[in-house]
Amino acid sequence: MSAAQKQVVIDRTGQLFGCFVLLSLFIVAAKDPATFVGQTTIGITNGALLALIALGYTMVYGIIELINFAHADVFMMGSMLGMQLIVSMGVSAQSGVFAKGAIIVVGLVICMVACALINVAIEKIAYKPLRNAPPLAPLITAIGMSFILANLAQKIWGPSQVSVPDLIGNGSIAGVRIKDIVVIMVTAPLLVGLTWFVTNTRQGKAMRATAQDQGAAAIMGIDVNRTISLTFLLGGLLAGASGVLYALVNTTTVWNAGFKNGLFAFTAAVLGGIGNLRGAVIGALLIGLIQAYSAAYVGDRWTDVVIFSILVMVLVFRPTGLLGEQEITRA
Amino acid sequence: MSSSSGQAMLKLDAVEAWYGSIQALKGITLEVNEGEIISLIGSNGAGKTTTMKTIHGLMKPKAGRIEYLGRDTAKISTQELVQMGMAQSPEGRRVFPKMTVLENLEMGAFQREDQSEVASDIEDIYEMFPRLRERKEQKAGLMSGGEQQMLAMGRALMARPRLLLLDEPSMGLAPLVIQQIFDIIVEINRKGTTVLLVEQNANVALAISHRAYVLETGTVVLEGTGKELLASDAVRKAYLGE
Amino acid sequence: MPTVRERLGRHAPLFVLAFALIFPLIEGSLGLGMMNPLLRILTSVMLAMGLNIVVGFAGLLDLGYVAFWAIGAYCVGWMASGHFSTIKVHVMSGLPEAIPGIHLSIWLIFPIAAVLTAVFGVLLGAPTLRLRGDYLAIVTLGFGEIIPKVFQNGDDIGGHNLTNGTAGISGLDAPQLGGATGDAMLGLGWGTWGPLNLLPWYYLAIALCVLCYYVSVTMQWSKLGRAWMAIREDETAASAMGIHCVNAKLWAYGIGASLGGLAGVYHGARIGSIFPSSFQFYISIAVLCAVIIGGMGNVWGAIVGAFVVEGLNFWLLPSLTSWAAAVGLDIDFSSWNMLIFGVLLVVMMLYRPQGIFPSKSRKLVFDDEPGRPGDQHYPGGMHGPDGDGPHTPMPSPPGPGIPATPGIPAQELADVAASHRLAPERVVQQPAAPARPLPASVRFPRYGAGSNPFDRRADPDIEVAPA
Repeated sequence: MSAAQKQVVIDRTGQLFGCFVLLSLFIVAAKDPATFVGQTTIGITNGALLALIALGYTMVYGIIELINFAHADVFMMGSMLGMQLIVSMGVSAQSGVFAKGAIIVVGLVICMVACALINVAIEKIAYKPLRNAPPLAPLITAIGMSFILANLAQKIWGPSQVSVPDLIGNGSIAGVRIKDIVVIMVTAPLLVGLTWFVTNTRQGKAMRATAQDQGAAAIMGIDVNRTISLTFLLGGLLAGASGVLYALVNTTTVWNAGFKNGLFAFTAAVLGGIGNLRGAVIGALLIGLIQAYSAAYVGDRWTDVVIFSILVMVLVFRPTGLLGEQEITRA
Repeated sequence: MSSSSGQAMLKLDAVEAWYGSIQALKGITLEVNEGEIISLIGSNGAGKTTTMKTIHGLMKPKAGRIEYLGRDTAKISTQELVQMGMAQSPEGRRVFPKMTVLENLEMGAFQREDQSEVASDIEDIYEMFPRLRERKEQKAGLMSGGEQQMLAMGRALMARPRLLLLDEPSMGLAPLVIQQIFDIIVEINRKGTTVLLVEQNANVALAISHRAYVLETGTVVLEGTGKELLASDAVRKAYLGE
Repeated sequence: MPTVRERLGRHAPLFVLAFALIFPLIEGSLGLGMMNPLLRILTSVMLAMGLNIVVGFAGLLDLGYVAFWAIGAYCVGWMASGHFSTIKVHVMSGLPEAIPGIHLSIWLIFPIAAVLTAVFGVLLGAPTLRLRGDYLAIVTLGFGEIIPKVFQNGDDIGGHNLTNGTAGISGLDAPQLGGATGDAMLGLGWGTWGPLNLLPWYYLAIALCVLCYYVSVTMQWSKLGRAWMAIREDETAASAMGIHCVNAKLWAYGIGASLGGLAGVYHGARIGSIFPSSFQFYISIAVLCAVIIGGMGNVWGAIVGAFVVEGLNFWLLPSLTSWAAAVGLDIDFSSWNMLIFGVLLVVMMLYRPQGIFPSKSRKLVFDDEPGRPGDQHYPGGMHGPDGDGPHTPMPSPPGPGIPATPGIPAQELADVAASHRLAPERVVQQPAAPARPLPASVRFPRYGAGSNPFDRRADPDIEVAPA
């Protein structure tokens, strides 16, 4: 069998499998539409939170080909700082709507900036000096930074779950939880803003150029180091927002919250085709939906297994991810 | 040449550069005057590309001095050099593969402050390379080598350079395309851009150069006008296969 | 003639082994109380050697190595306990036949687990071979997460209790050397392997480490080992030379996994009970760090790295805590382990990225890396005069015309030879050394002729290969 024939067989198998999954979903949806819709909104919310993290992974990977392991812990720091801010300001579930709204907005801004600064600092300390080292070296320092942040959080906020005042509550409007609405209201503008920034601004163009060819970008007069810092800054901003929203939606956070969410987010980035911003968002929404459906229809304890199995299968059937571009080799 | 050294646009004085523990440049001395086409010729590993990178601030010289427009470049970053009118079409072309031809050209004008004139300059580039106009919406990575070379040169020209560094513009191209490219280099030079050209294809390079330097293992072993070197036995033997 | 130092160097592994064999006497007489952590560290030494085959030799980044360890541990859990209480299978267990469950002698479980984990290694490897390095990392990471999850959820798979869930499997059989009578006959008094009698566990660990070492060193200089290294440096070039990359990678996965499985069997049997929660991502990373800190691709590096990393985790930090307590300080150093570990990793990578004992070939890479850290004016992507890609791990030396231009290369070759401390006499003196030479067609294009880092003669490590 030639390579092309093999690829056809692989593709067909993948399509068949995809059809099978969709068909089963359709059947369960028809059986109990209410549960299905509920799970879908939960899935989209989870996916939106993951998308914010996944974008950080995918941007950094796109520009310096590094799996930024510490990114997950920047997200965790965001959730912890958000929690700390809410608790120290004395805002609780019983506070007035205005106080709650204000603290959410202010908390988001402060935590986003803080996480952006943490992320940039990590890049300066741990990755920049290794710009020309073999790729494994920065990956190891990334793991090191991840451990440092996790351990610090564990020491500051304790080794067990920390509860966050439930500022949003469990109400719903027209059958959609307010929590979901808040998440979408924060996430959507951020995603649109990021896309606009990368495609339309001068700095965004510099980011894209640097991602494609650092050397050539430098020759164009682009400050490569500053562009990379900017990428970490943007990733940190999004991770900070995601962290605060995560703490608010789940009303709890923990020092190792980054690990699993980071893993899912990275899976999402790979699923969408790493380096591809749109891909990361779509991948994250898919992962969020898979998470929600599998919790409802397969069993919560199998969620991780399902997600990683799907990841492995996607990579086998389409190694560059769903939206990954075919490698363009320079002629 | 000592008489002109006062107004030299670019001057290298005993420049040394290293890759880790290996010395690539062992004291390069050369100068480029305004309006000239200067070639650096030599075989693989002679240090031509390293010289280019060192001039453009992409590598720091370990010893020696580089002057551009009368200023020591030791403290000047690549970005500033680009702003000061030094643009490069690098070896291997290095176009941005996932960007369109148009976007690539726009990237060339990245450091320019007069962004309003970029559009008309792009038109000028299209005049010079009609092929690029035809392909303006195409991803650069999907173009042929010759088209990519035109794009790389066009992209460098978008910076409105005073000094254009061209690294191996003939590499991997068909003879006919090479002729086109070199005709354009002469034209660019006629319009007032100084050109520093790195070439392995000594014959073509020397034919259009005012002066040239022959590099061997990191040092300048010969220099002279293009005609002199074309006539030199040593050059003919070593680089022209005679 | 070899110098004294070289002779010593050649026999260094034997000295280390001899020291390891008498170490319990020293430890016992000094009363250091290091035996328990030491056994755990030795388990990691086995793991590090196994992972070194996958990551260090073949260059396949595996972030889920803990999976194989877990599979090995569950093998002994299934095959040497009363877990499957509805059946009674006894094979050389030395236990009364009436006891329910599967009871195999541990000496049988070792090879079974090695084969089984190798199969899992290949099963994991097969679908991932098409993937680039980073995707591979994430898939292996996923695998490392899935396997413990499956074990954790395995108490109800179609109604069968396969793994006893989070409660894990406990009450594992203690191994016996040819049965209780056999132990007695050997006069070792090892009838009771257990927490109070660690000596047999210690010697078993040493034996397993020697086995892993033997496998590693033998594989490293085999034809397959050379194929791995060629793949690690440049897969395209390797396949152009006729190396069957798919097969070679699968072998790396299989062999690496089986060593992990052996370590798992040992660990499971020693602890006597198996919990799915003990197979965390952290362990994969700790072992990976051991390999990297020691020096990737170098067997001794992996061993030393495991001692450093796990010595820190299981001995130094707990000891510091108790010493601090002794002087009245209440500092729990162990709870800072991740931070200390993280700082260590970062500092290590910044200041000695090639590891403590770099393998010779990788040392070359790092030494000749252009644009050392901090060189801001040297953006990536312009490595070497050829303008190699931004992350080319091995930039060409700046004399691409090595044969054509005699100036640089001669110097460079001299440097390479010097860095290898390559004594010409030794080359001459050992005509049998390159017993398995590379085919004449094989060239390593990123190195100049004669500086082939994979040449046996160029690496003193080979001297320790058992004859």
